[in-house]
Amino acid sequence: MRAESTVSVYRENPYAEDSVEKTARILEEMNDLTAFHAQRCPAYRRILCAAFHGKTKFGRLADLPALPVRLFKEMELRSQPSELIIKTLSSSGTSAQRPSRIFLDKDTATSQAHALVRIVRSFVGAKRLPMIILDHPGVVKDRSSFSARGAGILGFSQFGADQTYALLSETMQPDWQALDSFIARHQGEKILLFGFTFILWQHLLLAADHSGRKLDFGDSILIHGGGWKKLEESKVSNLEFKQRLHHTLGIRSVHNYYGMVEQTGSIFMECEEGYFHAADYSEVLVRHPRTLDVQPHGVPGLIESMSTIPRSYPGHVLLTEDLGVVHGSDGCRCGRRGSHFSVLGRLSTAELRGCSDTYQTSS
Amino acid sequence: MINVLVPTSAPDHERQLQLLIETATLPPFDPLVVEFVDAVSKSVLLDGVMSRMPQMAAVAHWMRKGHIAKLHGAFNERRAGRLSLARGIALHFAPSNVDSIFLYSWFLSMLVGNANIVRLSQRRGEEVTALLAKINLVIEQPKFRPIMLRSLVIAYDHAHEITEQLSQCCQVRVLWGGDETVRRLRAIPMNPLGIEVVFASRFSLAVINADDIRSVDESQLRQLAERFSNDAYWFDQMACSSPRLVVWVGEKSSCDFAKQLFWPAVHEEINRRSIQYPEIVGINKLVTAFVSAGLEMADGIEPNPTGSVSRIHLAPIAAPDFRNLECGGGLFFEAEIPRLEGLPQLLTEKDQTLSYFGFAREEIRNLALSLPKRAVDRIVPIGSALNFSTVWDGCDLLQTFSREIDLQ
Repeated sequence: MRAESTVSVYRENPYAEDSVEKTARILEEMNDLTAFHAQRCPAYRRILCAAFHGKTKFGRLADLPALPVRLFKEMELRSQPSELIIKTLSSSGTSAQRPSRIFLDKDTATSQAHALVRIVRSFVGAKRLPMIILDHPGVVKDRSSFSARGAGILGFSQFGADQTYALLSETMQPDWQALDSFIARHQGEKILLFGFTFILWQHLLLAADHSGRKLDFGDSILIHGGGWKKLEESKVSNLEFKQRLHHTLGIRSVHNYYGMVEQTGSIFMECEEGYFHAADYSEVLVRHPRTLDVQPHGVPGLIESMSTIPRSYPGHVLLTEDLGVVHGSDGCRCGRRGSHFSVLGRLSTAELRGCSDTYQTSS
Repeated sequence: MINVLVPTSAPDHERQLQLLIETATLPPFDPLVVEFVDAVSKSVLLDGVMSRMPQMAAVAHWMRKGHIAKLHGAFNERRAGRLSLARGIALHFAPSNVDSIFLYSWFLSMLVGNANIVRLSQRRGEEVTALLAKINLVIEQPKFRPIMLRSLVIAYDHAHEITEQLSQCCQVRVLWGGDETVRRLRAIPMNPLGIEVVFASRFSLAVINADDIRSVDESQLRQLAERFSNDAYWFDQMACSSPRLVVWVGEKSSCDFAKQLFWPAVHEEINRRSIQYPEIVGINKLVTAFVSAGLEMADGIEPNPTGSVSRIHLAPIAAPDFRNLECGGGLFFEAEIPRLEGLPQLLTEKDQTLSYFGFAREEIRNLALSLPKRAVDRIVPIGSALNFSTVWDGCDLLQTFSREIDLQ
């Protein structure tokens, strides 16, 4: 059995579907994917048997079996034989943890790229824009095994032309020469910038402030992602972040995105109102962090993210360790339909003290 | 960076270490040492806050003069007129999960007359900090100066040099910790004349007679749940002796019925104690439950795995390394066997404490005689799993910390 995506009509706008219709469609796709993976991935099937009576068909999105996203760090989950795996993505992760390993076959990789194109084009337009990559070129050297950062950069590079890296590989210092000549080359053109939130903050914005430099990217759109955690530690709000981007780099339009390496492609983009949106490929729920009961709109909890894309690994319904709140389905003032939500941070990682760390230290 | 935690009067660890090396050992159960231990006990019991913490109260009672006299009596009885002396300097590496272990290890060694160096984890619980403050107040009293001169408690970051230096000047090295810690520490050379005692990571389980549970009354059931909860939840289920597997003995229907009585009682007990872990602990348990199902260690996960009591059913084909899934916070594997005689087949050398309910002493003794190689060092009633004993992991600590003189 092979579940076919029912998004057959590639509407231009991935945020146009009526929410009732979408819920029914996503449920059907999720049920199909659950059955598909149960058949292909023995470990997934065993989990369904142990925790969900082996069921693969569910009546509500809230009932679907969600895997905790950390499971992909703890074990190998694959729904395709290894000879069909063309790429393995790994999360950056913290040094103490093992990284996630996400196995992609050709179909899944293609679907990821398609989803990303439709979502991002709806923000930046169909034309390839001159592009600044807010990172250093060393990140994408090895093309068979990617970090989340490398995969993100390669995925987004397709939306640009004249891709120019903003940082020098060896030092992670801004490549002022490259940036200046890029701006000179593309005077008056709309510019696309892409990068990871913290790299952008630490290595470009603060570095520019430090050396008293300013740039003006003019009519520009920035897409950034990868998490707010480190900025939160330095007490930087989204508003302050945007103001400083405008002040120091002259960037006008800024869109954060929320996504995870376990569901590459079906990312959630931040709209002009500051909310993340679920596109045709995804849906979000929020669950109570202790009972895992689904929370009503407006009540914070753990974010559960669904994606119609994963076929080579059972990652279509994932319970994250991120806290968030869904504000509503449809009705966002930006005009996009679909669930829109905010990310509030991460579940704090208090650890029970095991006896395995006599010798380890937290300096 | 080396922090000297005890004694506070020590100028630095180097000079205190020199004192330890130069000072003679004391005779076993020297009255001054016994008085010191009792004085620490009193200072804990007189502290309104500490004496109300069950773990600290247990430590304080263990240190009381009356109990130490019992240990002394048992020590003499075992010696049977033979002569034992201290070994010299004992170096203890304390585990970070059970706050009281460092004290038992240190004081037992002190009682047989050794000078002691205790290395504590940087991640110490509040109880340890409170306990150290009490010890410092007592040890700085002029009359306990001989003990002060023979004591050094330190904490330091990952540093081989200091571990090696200390290891070269001790006669006993005591390692408490996980397998990885033990492996790393054992690789560091020590005084060729020194001996080493190692307490690595272990696993513990409870065995319950299902038929017996069916015949207990409500208050007995409540008492059992209370005792089981002590064993399982006191150290967040992270002590080596905390049960992580519950084996039911009886026919299937009997086991099912017993579970329906037992687990709600445990649940009620946990609620009564208002035990609530950080939310991430529930997620850890969910991850562990799914990992164990995915890796064929479990074939059933009871509803609400993120709650305070999480139950997963051990798959009959589970590899023994399900024991390595250290999660804590109240995650229990369960299995059923028709007869107690079948239990040894489930056991491995990693298993330390077997706590039991509903079996006659004779049955337990027969079970002990059929234990497989290295498996299980303690068999105790449910409720006593965490009680510290001077015999630990099969090793008599008072005997090991001292040396016998062959006097002819």
